[in-house]
Amino acid sequence: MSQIVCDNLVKIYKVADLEVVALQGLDLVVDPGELIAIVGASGSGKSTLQNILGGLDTPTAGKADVAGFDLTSLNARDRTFYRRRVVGFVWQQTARNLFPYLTAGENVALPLVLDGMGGRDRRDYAHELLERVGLVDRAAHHPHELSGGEQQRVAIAIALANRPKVLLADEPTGELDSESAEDLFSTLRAVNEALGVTVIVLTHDPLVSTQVNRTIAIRDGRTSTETLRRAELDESGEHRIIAEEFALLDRVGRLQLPREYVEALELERRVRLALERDHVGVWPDRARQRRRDGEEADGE
Amino acid sequence: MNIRTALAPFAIARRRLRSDPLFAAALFAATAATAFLFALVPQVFGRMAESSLEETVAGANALERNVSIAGAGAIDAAQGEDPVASVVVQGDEHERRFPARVQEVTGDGRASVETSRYTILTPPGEAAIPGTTRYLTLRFLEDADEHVKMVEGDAPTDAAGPVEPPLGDRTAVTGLEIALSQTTADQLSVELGDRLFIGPAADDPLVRNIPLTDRRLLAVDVVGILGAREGDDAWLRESRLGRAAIRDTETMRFIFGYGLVAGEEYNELLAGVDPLPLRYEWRFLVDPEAVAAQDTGELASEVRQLEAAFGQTTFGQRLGLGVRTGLGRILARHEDDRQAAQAVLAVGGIALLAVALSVLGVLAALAADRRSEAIALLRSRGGSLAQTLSVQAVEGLLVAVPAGALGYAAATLAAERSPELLPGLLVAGIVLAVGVLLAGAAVGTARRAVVPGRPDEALVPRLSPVRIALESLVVIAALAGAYLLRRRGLSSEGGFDPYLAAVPVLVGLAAAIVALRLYPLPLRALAWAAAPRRDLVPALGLRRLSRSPTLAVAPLLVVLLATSVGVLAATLAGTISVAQDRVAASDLTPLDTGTLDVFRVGIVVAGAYATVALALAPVLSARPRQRDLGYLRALGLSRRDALGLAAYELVPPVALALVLGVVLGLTLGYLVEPGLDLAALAAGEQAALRPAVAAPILLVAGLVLVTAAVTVLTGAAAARVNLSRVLRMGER
Repeated sequence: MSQIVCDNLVKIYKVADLEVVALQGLDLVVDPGELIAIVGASGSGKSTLQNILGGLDTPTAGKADVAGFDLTSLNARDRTFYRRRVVGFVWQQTARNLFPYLTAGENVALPLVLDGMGGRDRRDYAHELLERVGLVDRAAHHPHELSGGEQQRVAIAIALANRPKVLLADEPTGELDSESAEDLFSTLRAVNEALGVTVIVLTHDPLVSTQVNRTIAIRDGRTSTETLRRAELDESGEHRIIAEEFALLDRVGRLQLPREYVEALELERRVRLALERDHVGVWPDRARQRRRDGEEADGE
Repeated sequence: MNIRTALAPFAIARRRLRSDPLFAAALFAATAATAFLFALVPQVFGRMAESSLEETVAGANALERNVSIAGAGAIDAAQGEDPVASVVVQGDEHERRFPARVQEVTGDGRASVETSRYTILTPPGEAAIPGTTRYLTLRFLEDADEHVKMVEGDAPTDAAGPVEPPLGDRTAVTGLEIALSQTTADQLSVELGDRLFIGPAADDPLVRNIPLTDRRLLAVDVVGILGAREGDDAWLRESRLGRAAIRDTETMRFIFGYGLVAGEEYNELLAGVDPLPLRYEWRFLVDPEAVAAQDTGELASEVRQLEAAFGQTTFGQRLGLGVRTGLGRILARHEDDRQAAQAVLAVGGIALLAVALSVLGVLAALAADRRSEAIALLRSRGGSLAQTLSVQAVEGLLVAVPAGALGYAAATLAAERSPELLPGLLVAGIVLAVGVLLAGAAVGTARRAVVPGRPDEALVPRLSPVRIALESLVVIAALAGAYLLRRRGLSSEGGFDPYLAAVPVLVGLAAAIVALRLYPLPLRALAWAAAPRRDLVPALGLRRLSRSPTLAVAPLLVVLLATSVGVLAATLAGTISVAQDRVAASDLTPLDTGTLDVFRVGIVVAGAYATVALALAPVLSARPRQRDLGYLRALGLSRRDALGLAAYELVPPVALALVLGVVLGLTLGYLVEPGLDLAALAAGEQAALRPAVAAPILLVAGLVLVTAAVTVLTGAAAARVNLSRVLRMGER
């Protein structure tokens, strides 16, 4: 059974008299234990998607199920429970992940306090989590005494505190140098493998896709393509990474072609389709193209 | 929720406070100052009321102030050396029947025994004084020895014995020794050493029912001339021994003199007047200080119980006992004065409390603003709304509880009184209000904070129907209250009507709400008018201002409220002062003068709260301003323009708040004055409402100076802004 299912998800914000459609029928399916990236430019709707998946906001329409929770119908109490037990967050700004007046250990223990876990158990588990992210010796340090990478790793430990099923990381490496970013992804992969937690990294950086197994690109509030990454043995017997990009087909059969394909073939308005035995062919509208070429020749 | 979850807010709130000592200090100072003020005022009022009561009781004449048990009869003499001891013991028995609180305010009883009125007979062979009737009444006073001394002759004793009657009657008459004051002796034309024969005066009610044949003469020897001991002239006057009363008619002169007899003559006195009764009185002196320390309502109730227990006095005109005291009337008069002062002070006090709470509310809003990111983080980490708001409330209480305790202790020490309930309740209310305000101010943030980064400050907030309904309710309550206050007055049976006392606050709030809803309109018009100018600053400043969220203008509502309260206090103080100047200082009680002083202090306190609010105004809008100014500076805005922008943002609303505040304060004066009994604070002297001029001008001038200082500081801070830091913040 899928861990996350978004079906035709719509979110409309009302800003003054203006309606902004942030998500316009987004579909997404994520299985338990996956490590995926959702990639999109600024304004593509990825933060809105994260807020909805995190229980921080409610969709306007559509379906959003996470770990058996229907996010469209949660009341305030269930929503709090959902945030406490089902999802964990890591944000881009290191300062936004941690309370500056609590030590790393206390920050990690905070969700456990909110959940009512006892003193010794809490300390032990916070210690274990910090050990898992390799920062057990920094437990007594305040955030300002930690490097950016260390702060983000503490944030991962906090996000894991209440044994969530899903970890949402919003641009987790946005403020880090490349070495710290690499460390952070190693940590994310490690907790994904060790704990089986589903990890979703939201980012604008397409290079992040090299760090995860599946990358979903979203554009204009909809999922556009999906890139699957797998390791294969080549003819010489060496491991190589194969990345295959797929376009996504929605329930009613709509397909979003990658922008570069559209631009390369100058596709616009309508295309010609041809059903073959094992694929569908897509061609530019030649008649229209010829007409346009003729008009250009006459002009000259 | 288990105990650990419940305690979580304490740990977080404690850390937050440690990480933000500046805010904690500001909240502590504001709470402590407010607690001090509102713990002090009731205690000062209590002390003023006590002093006032003490002075009223002490200033009343002895007959009105003290408690007397009086009656006519014949109490048997005691065996032994002191025959009058039986009369003294009777007084003790009466005292035991007094209600407890009356016993607490009265001292030991002083017994007195008095004959009915006797006429001095002219001895045979002597010429009568033409047209003059001389009366003599013999009195024994238990405490006479303490207050008088013999200035000539001897003190009376029981040595006189039976005396031969003057007209050859065979029956000997009782002889008694007396002492008179020199004045009385002169008025009665009597000298030391004279022997007077006196017969019962027929016009004395006690004598009327005695047959003529049973009325017996007495022989009195004037053995001493008495005079007051040092400092006891008043006692001598009140005892009626000092001087005889004289009443003249067209044809006759009546002289009523009193002579002192000794206690050891009580046996002779009883025998001599028989069958006439004697008049007895036990006077219990009331201690004004003890009265002031009592709860006047309960004491007045027990005085009524005393009067019911003994019955009304017959002033010894008939047999039987009765009580006489004016203490109940004194207490009732004082209670009227106290209630009038309480009502007037309640109006000012509630208004000032509203100002104080609104300042604390602004601090709470500041806390919610400063904690907005922490609130969002706590919510996203699984903190429930209740847990998140609890952290805010606990943060407030962790500061407010010690601050309130300090304020209360300081006020109690300053007032030099033992701890009392009302100030304690007020301080507890203020402390709780801080917690509630901090939590309440964060409700919006805690609900909204789950969607981080929404550009709230860019939006002009829309009013929810609930808010429109609430604001309409305040306006309607203010109008209805104002109508009722003018019609009914503030004082009601047993105190004042809290709703009507809160009318100035309601009217102030209603005016503030209307101003808040309307003020963007003229500002937008001004901004539109300023747009064509080459100078960007006026249009930019006015547009920013007209789009400011409610939070940013909240401090200015405090300025409006505080100014109106200050002007109202000044108007009432001016009116009371004019009325008090027209009456003698001796007619004014400490309650009257103290109430005036409290109002004068109230003006200063209102100004102080307005100053705090003015200082907080730019702090509350600091974040969006810093971001905007960061962008503008990056685009080339000069430091001078930054100062100009700060001035355009602060000066128009403050000017509006001050003008509205002054107008509102003056209007409130005319509105509430008919409902207040200001004459009660000036010994009944009426004075027409007198709009204050000097105090409001000083208040407004002071606030204008504060505004100028705040503007300069805000502009300077804006000019010194770290562009790289602020612009980076803007990205978020």
